This record gives sequence, structure tokens and C-alpha cells, in this order.
Amino acid sequence: MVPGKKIDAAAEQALLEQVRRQDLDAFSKIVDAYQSRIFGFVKRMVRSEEDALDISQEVFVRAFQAVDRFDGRSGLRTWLFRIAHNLCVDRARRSERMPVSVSLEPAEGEEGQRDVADARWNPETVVLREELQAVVEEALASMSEKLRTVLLLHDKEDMGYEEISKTVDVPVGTVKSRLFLARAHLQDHVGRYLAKG
Amino acid sequence: MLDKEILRKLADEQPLTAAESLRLDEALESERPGVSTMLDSLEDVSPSYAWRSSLNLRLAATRRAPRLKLLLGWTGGLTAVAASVMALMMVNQPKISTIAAPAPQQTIAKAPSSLEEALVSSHMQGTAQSSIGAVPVQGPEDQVFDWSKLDKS
Repeated sequence: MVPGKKIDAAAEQALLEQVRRQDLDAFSKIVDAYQSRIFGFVKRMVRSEEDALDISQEVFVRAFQAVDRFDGRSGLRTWLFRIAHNLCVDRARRSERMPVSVSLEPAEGEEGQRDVADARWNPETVVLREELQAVVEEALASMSEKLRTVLLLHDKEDMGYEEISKTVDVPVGTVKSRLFLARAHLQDHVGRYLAKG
Repeated sequence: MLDKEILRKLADEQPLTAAESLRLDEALESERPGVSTMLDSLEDVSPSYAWRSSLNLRLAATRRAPRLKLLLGWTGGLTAVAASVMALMMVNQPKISTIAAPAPQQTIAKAPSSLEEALVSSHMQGTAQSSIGAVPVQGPEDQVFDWSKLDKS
């Protein structure tokens, strides 16, 4: 299987059945499909390449060990990202890293209101793609873990609110709140960068 | 556009009213394309082959573990069953009437009571042993054969 290639639901179920019989070849296909996305998610959550590599491995090892307990109600992707999220949270707690809080104070001139659909959001206005990527990465790194998780799962992994709710174990309303705040944080960060010229 | 009150509720993760929820949904929907485009531009890098190789080793080790556990479980179980059966047999064993061992017969020569007797006894035993070794075996071959008779016949 080509690494990163998505598996359809039927093939996923068939693979899971094989994995339950301790079939490592079948599990390798699952790893192929998810390793880049899991590693990308974890790397943005822990910010240390070494930790990200370690945690990403642990995600797949735990999934393989616990596949018998996976009932399939939440979907394989949700399950894998939930394991990844929990491991990232555990690691962050251990390292006692304090997340940066999000300021909700409106910027000067906004008078208490935030224009979400700001024209500055258009990526076409950014000349250098690499620079934009770096700024977005920076913005992600500077926001709290809770906000970053929801933003990555929704806008990067295309998960729905319900799926994120199951992944991070919070109500759907909370998912929406965090998503809004995360986007607002990202907007502020990129906006400041664009304002600099 | 969300006002301060809604933002405060969002920050505190307080429940929103139906109207506020609707406004939040609209705001999330309207800003989604821009954010998704930005995040989609972020590249996901695959871990190295060394990472994958290491993962495969860990998975293989994980796979063996249940078999070992199963084997140990079976072995332990069988041992426990065998021990229980043996203990049960020992407890319920029918009583066997014991047979008294016969008293040892006086086959050993009586110990000499004095030094002289001991010396005599020792001498006698030594003589008997040496005579057994020294006395040639008496058999028909030892009889003197008269060869001259053969010549005559």
C-alpha cells in the first residue's frame, strides 16, 4: 500500500478483522495509511521531533495491542487520533509545559467585535507559501493545546464536530467554542504577520 | 461577527443560548474555507524508514507476547491441576497396615571382649583369607598323569 493513501470503510473493516488475528501485514497497511497524519498531528502537539517520533510509534503499538477492545463504533481514524491525543496530553502533563493562553481582548479599532471573514485570510495575498506555512506553524505552536487539537482535527484532518467530540471527549458545543477561539488566535497571528508586510 | 458576551462565554466554555449557537455556527461556517486552505498547505512529513523499522520490531515483539502468555498460562494451569490431584490423592490415600520389620539377626560376629581375643581373632581372619588365596584350586587336572602309559598303548 502507498503510504498516506486512505482506506475505504469496507477495506478498513477487513483489515481490522485480520489485525484481530494478530496479522502484522494487515496492520502494516493501516500504519501506511495513517503514519504521516498521526506523526504530523503529534509533531504539532508536542513540538519536539524526538517526542513526536516516540509518541507516534506508541500510538500504533497501543492500537495493535488493544485492537480486540476496539468495537468499531467510532471509526479507526477517530480511535487512532484519540490514542494520539491522549498520549500527547500525558506527555505535556509530564513535561509540565504551560500552554499559552488566548487573549480575547479585541485589537485596537475593533471596538469589541471580531470580523471573522477578514479579507487578510485569503492565502492568495501571501506571496511566499513557505513563509505562510512557517507563520501558521508558529501560530499553532503559540496556542493552547486544547485549541490546537480541535483546529488540527477539524481544519486539517477534516473531522466533523461529533467525531472530534469523541476523540477529545468533550461535548460538541465545546468543540465549536474551541474551534472558534483557535481560528481567532490563528487569524490574529497571521494578521499581524501580514500587517508587517 | 460575535459580540463580547458570546466571546466571553466561549472562553469560559459556558453553554450558549440557541440564538448564540446559531450565530456561532454561522461564524464557523463562513471562516472555514480560508482556515482549511491555510492548514491544508501544511505538509505532513512521513517518518523515516528507521522509525518504521523500529516500529515493526516493536509490533513483532508485541505479537509474540500473547503467545508466551498463553503458553505460560497453560503450563501454570496444568502444573496447578497436577499438584491438586497429587495433594488430593495423598489426603484420600487408603490406610495400609504397616508390617513390622524383622529384627536384625545376630549375623555379625560378637565383638571381642579383650585385647588378646581381638588379636587372635584378627590373626585367624588374616590366616583364613591368605589360605583361601594361597591354596590352589584342586581339580582333576591336578592329578599326575602317567605319560608312559600312552607310549605303551
